[in-house]
Amino acid sequence: MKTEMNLEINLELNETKTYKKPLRKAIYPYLFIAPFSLLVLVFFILPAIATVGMAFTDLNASMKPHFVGLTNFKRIFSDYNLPQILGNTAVFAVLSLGISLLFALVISIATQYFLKGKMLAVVYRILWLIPSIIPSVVYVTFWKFIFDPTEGGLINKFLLNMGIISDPVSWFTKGAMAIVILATIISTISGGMILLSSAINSIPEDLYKAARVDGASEKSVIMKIILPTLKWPLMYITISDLIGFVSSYFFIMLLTQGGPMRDTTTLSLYAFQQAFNLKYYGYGAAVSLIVVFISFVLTMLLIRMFDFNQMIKPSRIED
Amino acid sequence: MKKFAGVALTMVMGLGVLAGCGSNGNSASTTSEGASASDKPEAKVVTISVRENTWGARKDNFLEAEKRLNEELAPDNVQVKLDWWPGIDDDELVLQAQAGKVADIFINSSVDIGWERDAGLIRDIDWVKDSKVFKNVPASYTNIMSYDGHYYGAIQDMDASPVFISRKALEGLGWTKEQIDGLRARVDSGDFTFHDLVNLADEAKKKSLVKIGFAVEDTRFEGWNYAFDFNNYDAEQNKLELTQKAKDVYAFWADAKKRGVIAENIGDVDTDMAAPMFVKGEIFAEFARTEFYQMMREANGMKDKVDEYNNWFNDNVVWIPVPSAQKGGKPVSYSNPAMIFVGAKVDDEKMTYVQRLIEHVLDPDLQINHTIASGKLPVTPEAQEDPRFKEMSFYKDHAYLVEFTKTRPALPDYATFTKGYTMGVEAILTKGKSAEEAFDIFEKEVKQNVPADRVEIQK
Amino acid sequence: MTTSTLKKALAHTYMTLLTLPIIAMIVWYFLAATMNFTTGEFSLDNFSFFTEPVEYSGIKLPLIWPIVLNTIVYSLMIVAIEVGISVPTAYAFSRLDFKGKGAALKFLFLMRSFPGITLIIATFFILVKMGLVNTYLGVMLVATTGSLPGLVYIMKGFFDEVPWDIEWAAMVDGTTRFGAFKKVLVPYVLSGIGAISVFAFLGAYGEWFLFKLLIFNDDMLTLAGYLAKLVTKENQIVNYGLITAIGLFYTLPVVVFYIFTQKMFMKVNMGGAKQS
Repeated sequence: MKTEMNLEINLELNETKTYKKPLRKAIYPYLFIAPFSLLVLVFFILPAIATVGMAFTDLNASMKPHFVGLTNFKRIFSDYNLPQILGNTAVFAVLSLGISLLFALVISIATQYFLKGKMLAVVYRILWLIPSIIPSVVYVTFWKFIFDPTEGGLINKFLLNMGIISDPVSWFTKGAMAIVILATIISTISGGMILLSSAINSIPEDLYKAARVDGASEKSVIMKIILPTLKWPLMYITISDLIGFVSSYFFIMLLTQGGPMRDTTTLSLYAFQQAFNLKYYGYGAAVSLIVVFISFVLTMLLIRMFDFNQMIKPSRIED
Repeated sequence: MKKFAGVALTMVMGLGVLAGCGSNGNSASTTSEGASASDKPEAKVVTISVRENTWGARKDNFLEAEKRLNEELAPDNVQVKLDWWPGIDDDELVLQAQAGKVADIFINSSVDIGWERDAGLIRDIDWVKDSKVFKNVPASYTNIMSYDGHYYGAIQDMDASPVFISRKALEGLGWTKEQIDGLRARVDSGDFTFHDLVNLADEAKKKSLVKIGFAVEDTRFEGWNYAFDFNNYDAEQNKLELTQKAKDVYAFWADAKKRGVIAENIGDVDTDMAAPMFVKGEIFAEFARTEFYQMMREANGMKDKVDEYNNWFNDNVVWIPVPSAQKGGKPVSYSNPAMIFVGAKVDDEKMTYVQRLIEHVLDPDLQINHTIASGKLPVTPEAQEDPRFKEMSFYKDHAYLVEFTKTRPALPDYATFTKGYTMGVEAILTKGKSAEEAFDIFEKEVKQNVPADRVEIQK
Repeated sequence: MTTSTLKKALAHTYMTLLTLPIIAMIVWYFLAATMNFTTGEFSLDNFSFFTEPVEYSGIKLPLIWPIVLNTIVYSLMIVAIEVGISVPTAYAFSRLDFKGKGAALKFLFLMRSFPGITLIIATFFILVKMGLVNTYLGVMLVATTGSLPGLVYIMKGFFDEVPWDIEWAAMVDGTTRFGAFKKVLVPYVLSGIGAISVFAFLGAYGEWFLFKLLIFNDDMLTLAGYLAKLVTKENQIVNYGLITAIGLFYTLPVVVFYIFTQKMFMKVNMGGAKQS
């Protein structure tokens, strides 16, 4: 929508300039992005506006919305669970992001630097990719089996046989958050791994050679050559994974349903439960707007932190 | 690597194809289109869409009902045709209705009447008042079929909630055969209370006769509420009800947790896990529904050996209704019955055919077909007269529970209310909270999340 | 020389240790699909979905082969649409200058703050109004909108890497901008198109939520939606054996697909050209 408005402004400006671009030339960049803009307008901006509107109604299963003003938002902010849910969201998102980034980095450096070109390096990467392509409903069955609270569960069976415990441990009530984070991390690492590996892959071999000639240690190769190359991929992964974690609910729903009590309920799971399990669509929309607001602020912050403007600065020259 | 992957893939696919071929012989064709061709003038065709899973004998029963109805309608030169749609979740039901896609007939729980009516998904079916099929159905059933002065659902099947107790464990506690066989009568008369059952479980666990005291199907903790006379719902005012009696229930939870009768993961042990454990004698009492009888048969590996299984059942299990917590009180059973709903778009003319189809689905023999396939109970007295039903002593013996079986209220906010209750339970189980604290959590949840005009909080 | 061998051995050891849980996971999936855990017997019963429609606890799903066909057709169409739209868009963002470009690029990033689930109900109503609900076209448009920002960024990275000289040379030769785009750039960034095709394909292959809500007919499902249907009401997973068996059938082709395409992934480079 924005781009189309700009189109007109641009045309006007061009008329007044001393150096006149031909009309055709001023339009064609917009032709390139027109299909994209149209899609975004119809299937993103319109639903987004409608969702904002929905958040001010009491829309429920009866599908007859009434305007209720700020009631939904008042309810959220007076919800005594909110601090806990926000805390869960923060713990879940920050830990998942930190650990999965670290692992993605380690695996990428190991396979693309230390083991570069080795067949086994490819095998490692493929194995790591598997958790992310296994459909989530299948993926969670594995974790359910590992942490099964009865004697049939893998860990319980192992500990019982070793004689370490005498009764099966109820993992899902003792460490629900840890299980959820573990499962999430293992399935998200590969996304970052692919981007980081390819970035490391693009470093010319000469650079390493030069460094070695200079007698640089492995540590300084990693710190001075590899890590700087990873700035943009790291930014991209940080932002998209962080937002992904803040807004993700599906693993949690399948693994713990947010329990025990609300120990693993994140804000977006709460929004989902309100809208889809309890059918308070209006209230659910209001809660998810808070999720959106948080992601929005985080994105802005990160964009500033990583000096995003430099990344998208105009290419060197233009006609 | 690539080669290896390719080989692995072909192998797995190949195995699958081989496995499939072995069981390919039973695909009998059911198309009988040639049969309907006749020399009569074009028959009027009424297409009725039915949305439901094939669960139990539900689909087969609708198909059989279609056949029977068409035989009746042949003289009028009308033909009813079923259009079968697969079952879906409630959220999809809501959305598809907005897109104009609502089945003429669909099945859902009795608790869904409220919101389905509000959302305009269903229409009234007041004909059930005069229908001879429902004439002898007990009032406790017809009550839940109506909402706000109209009938909206036709009850499809029924449930009871027996407690399955390990006979071996009772014998281990020194009970004689007579004592065990007489247990149910004592529960019925109110002589044997819920607390007695807790004490027995405690004893059995202390003597290491079992590993788990109480187990429950999923998180259906309602039976225990009813045992303590905490009924959730005030039918006269059509409101949910939070009474002080909930504290008694929480007190039981806290006590049972402390004594180890209830494990903290009670909500995580599903019936499919519990059935094999019960068969191995690891559970003292399983609070489930009649379907558990069926699940144990499969866990025993006796799916097709009914007589052998019944012998095993009689030697290893005794079942009772949920005993009352009060000495002399009535026992408890609860159910979440399925209802047949009629889509809002069905007009009065089509309704006559829809009505007759539904009435045929409730033909006594078809109800019993469903009982055999699903473990659910029939709903009409006529069906209980079926000789096949009378032969199945396990189900037949449950028939008397129906008179006092409780069902969930048809209020849209019941799910929210129950969630609050479960929060309190989880606080006791996983956080070591006391009964009072659990009650406070329940109250706080209800106050915050259930609309104030839908609930009465008793002080 | 010896130190580097030592380092390699060390790296191998660490990687093997790290990867062990995943190997365990894979082994378990094969076991779960082929073993009856209660009796401990090997059986291929779970794989009978190859020849029969799946049916359990009341859910009956159509035979899998038409679903496989749907999946292939749907995924290929998504690839075509998403590549067709994201390549010109990325080109514009990388090479052309226009008002609002910076804002649009930021907007692309911010689009991700809206989790898809938030908008789904509103999107549903828009599709109803357009008459596109319960059609592949509707699903494809919504899915494409969701995945485009990521693809555009990846593709932009490829365009950024193309040296300007090549494009200049083409323009000096008298070709128009469109001509330059077609003749010179496209072949140069073919590997980029390859990479986003792979991403688009994987995204389409894994799509299930849109199918669950926007498609009403079971015979129109794709494999991922088919699997999601096996999770019954109240989000309970009932039949582990069947789900893992179909899950394996679903996963293996992707693994093979990745083995053949992983070189393309390795060329993805975001903002790489800005390094120098």
